[in-house]
Amino acid sequence: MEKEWSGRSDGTPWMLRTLTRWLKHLDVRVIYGVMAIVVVFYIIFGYRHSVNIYRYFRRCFGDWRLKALARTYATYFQFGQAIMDRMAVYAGRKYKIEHDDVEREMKVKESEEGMIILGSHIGNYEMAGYLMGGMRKPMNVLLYAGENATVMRNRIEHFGRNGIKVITVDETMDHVYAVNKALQEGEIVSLHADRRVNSEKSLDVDILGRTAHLPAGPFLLSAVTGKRVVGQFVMKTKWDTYKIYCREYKAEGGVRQAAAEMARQYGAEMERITRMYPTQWYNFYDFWK
Amino acid sequence: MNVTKEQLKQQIIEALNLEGMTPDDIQDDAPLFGEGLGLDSIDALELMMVFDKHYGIKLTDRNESKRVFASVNTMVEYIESKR
Repeated sequence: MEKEWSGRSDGTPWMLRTLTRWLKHLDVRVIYGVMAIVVVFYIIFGYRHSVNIYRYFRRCFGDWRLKALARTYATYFQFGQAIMDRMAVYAGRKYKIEHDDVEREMKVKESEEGMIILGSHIGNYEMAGYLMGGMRKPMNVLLYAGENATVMRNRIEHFGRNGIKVITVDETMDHVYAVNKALQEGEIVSLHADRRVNSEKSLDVDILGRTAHLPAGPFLLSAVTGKRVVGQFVMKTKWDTYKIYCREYKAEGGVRQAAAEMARQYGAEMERITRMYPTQWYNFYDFWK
Repeated sequence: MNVTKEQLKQQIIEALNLEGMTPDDIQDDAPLFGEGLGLDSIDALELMMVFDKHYGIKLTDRNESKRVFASVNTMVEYIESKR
């Protein structure tokens, strides 16, 4: 069983290029229809990952077997939709955005200081970068260097189109200097805070009744720099609509205590959102291991 | 007042929460990252904050930071040069 996520996204270059081309001409709902059948094969042949999602419903929500199976299918289907929606954006399609609390969100995002925005593999976080654009402050996104080359190229290209800069996380520590520079210059730095990649440091928090190990980096980054940290979840509510949930986390005390407290708050928010949208949980591995 | 290597080592130990370590455990010329003290990327960020908090030095240039954080010796030399 893997201890941490390998960090790679699926899909051959040919498949990704073809899908993007199709989405320029086809209604995304037609693709959803095809996908409803295709995901069955993903569930069967990706058995190892499917079992993790099935267990997530059984253990975290107490689902009986048939319900857990049905919700495993729903999770795969919605994950497929999330990927198709990103591709559709690459192909030029627009989606509607709703806000959980637009006033609070704007107040946080329009502050003059540098800020850290935490994302996760719950919902379709990346869509915020593509859909919102036009933020008042320059935005930097941290991406894992081990990603599929085509996926990376697509992301960098479309982030660039929205004026978003990419900082690549690799074995060197260059990203730390880039992140610090961006924050000191009042920019936004966006990174995932739910998976450990290339790092053994973690913070233990309770999520859905079990202890999870969140990466310490994002929270230490905020505690060390003293910059504001905001969690953002982008959840699909209708076939053409996403809703943004945005909340700031605050903690006092020493660096480690503050980081641990922010991780606890973030874990609580992950749980709150997951309880509202259980089938938009896209961590296809044993998250609590 | 000049910064001593002892002082800086103590600040590093406190900032990085290096439990059980004393200034004597950190060699003046040993690399802080990789095979030396084995610090990681977040530790680098904490060192930047030590520089800012204790010496009012803001390090944002990547190449300069790498050179400065090579060892305790290079850190002290840099602090002295900025005073």
